[in-house]
Amino acid sequence: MAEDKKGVIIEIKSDLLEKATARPGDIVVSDDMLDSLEGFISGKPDTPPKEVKPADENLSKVEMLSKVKSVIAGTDKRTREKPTAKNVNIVISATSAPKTEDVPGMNDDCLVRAKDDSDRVETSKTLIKETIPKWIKNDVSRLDSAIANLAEKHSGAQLRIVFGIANNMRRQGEFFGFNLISFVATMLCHVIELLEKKSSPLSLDEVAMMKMHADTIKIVIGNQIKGTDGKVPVVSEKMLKVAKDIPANTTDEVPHAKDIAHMSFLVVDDNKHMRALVKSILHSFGTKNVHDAANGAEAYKELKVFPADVIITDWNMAPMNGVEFTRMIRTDKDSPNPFTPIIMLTGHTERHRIMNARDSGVNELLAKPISAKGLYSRICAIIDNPREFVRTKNYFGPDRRRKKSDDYTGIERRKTPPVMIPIPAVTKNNDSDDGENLPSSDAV
Amino acid sequence: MTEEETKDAILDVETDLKERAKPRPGDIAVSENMLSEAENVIASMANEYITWVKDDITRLEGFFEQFAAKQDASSLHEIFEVSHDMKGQGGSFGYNLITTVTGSLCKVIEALQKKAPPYGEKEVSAIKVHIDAIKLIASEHIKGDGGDVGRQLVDGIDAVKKKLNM
Repeated sequence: MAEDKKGVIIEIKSDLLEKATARPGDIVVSDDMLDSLEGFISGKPDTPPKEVKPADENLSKVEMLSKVKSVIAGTDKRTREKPTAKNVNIVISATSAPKTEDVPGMNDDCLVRAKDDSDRVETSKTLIKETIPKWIKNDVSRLDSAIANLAEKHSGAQLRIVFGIANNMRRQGEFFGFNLISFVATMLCHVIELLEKKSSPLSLDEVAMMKMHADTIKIVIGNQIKGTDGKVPVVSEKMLKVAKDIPANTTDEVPHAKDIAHMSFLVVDDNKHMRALVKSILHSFGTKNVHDAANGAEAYKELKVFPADVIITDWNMAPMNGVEFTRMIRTDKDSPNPFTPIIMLTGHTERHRIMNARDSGVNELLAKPISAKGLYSRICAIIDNPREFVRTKNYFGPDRRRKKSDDYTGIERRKTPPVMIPIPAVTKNNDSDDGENLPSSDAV
Repeated sequence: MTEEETKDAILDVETDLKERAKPRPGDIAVSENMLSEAENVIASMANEYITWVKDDITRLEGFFEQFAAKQDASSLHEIFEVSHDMKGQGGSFGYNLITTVTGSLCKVIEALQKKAPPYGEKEVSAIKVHIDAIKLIASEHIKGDGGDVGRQLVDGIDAVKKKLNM
């Protein structure tokens, strides 16, 4: 046993060299075959012979063949010299066969073999030509459906599947001369690796970003864009065009965990089933302090005795709808708390209606049908991004400018810089009837 | 109210919600699991939903009968109200097709409301087609996008609307 453990050099006999020695009628891999194939693959049939690159994970098939040959010949793996073709007892060119009398030892059999060699190159070309579209179509459709599955249900395993397909495309794109596919697929791999570090489910934007990569690959394929020279700006431009269509909606992104168990909510909806649904979701979040009302008028009365931290209201209700109710909360001189955050749930998604709701003074809107994640994201928006209130002759409510940009070059409609007035937090049990925090009664 | 109180102003309103929502040791914070649980709670209400949606369908049919007979604005408005409610609920319980079809019905009604009665037979039957589709989805419990059946239903409705330029 001690003998076994001693450091020894073990000589392994290999019969590869013997096997690779050409015999009459054998198929051999010649330099010209390699050059011709590489030229075809890279889209440049007349490509001069290339140097064999050092070991690299992106080795092309042709380079791999060269490697195999160098291993067979027993030469150093890291050689940078073009390997000598095996079976070169007679060197045969696939494109211009030499005359028999020019080469010592060459006879008619050699010419027959040269013809066979040429045929094999042609066959390989045809095979590759037929394989490319199939391969691309398969991988692109797999990528599409994997991203669609991911959009439907986020799981780490599904994300890995998308990564696997992209990684495959990254390796193969360049091989077939579609360098841009490799470029875009590599970017997609990086995106996925970043997303894998996240613990929360994917947002719509993140899924759209992945889809944008897949769409770009389709553009590259559709336009048969090979190589990279001068094509990157074209693809970048098209990617930007695709990116413009990505919805800027990050509504379903789940923010950091919050404890909302101690917050109080007033749910206002004329449909008892919707009230039950919203209350069930809130209870699932651990919240117990939830009251409800069937319309705006009833809710307004309820607020006087139940100062909710957040109001969740429907729009369509009678006798007082959600917009009227919101205006009353914001502007009525008897309002229990004009600053109460309001989330409006609505099936109306037309622009003019959204503007109408916004102008009534709601903080957040959530389109029906609702989901638990959607509702939670709106509650978090209220907690994380409390907005200043604006008081003008025509409006009182949360600042409708959600984004403040220093780069804005349009007309500043706020001609007079408004005065900043600090308003202390309204405690839950205070009696707001003193009107101290109320806005101007002129505000609409 | 003083002049000062009516001046244009930006009010920097303090709020303690952020502080109160910070999870502390032993507190229950809304986690991924909790969100999934909440989605499960909604899914478990799907059976109740399909019961109450049948009441909505009955109301829808009642208002439609009235509308077909009188062609009055009030019953048309009621059909809109019921279908608008249904549109907002279906998807929450996995019945996305109910949301799709009732959404389409709302658009048909809005188009009709812009026109003066009397409405043509085809316009009335466009409403009926929608109601029949909703009945089928509810009775067959067709969830999600409904696969091939769902696609056929939506294509059929789209074809009707196209024919009527809606």
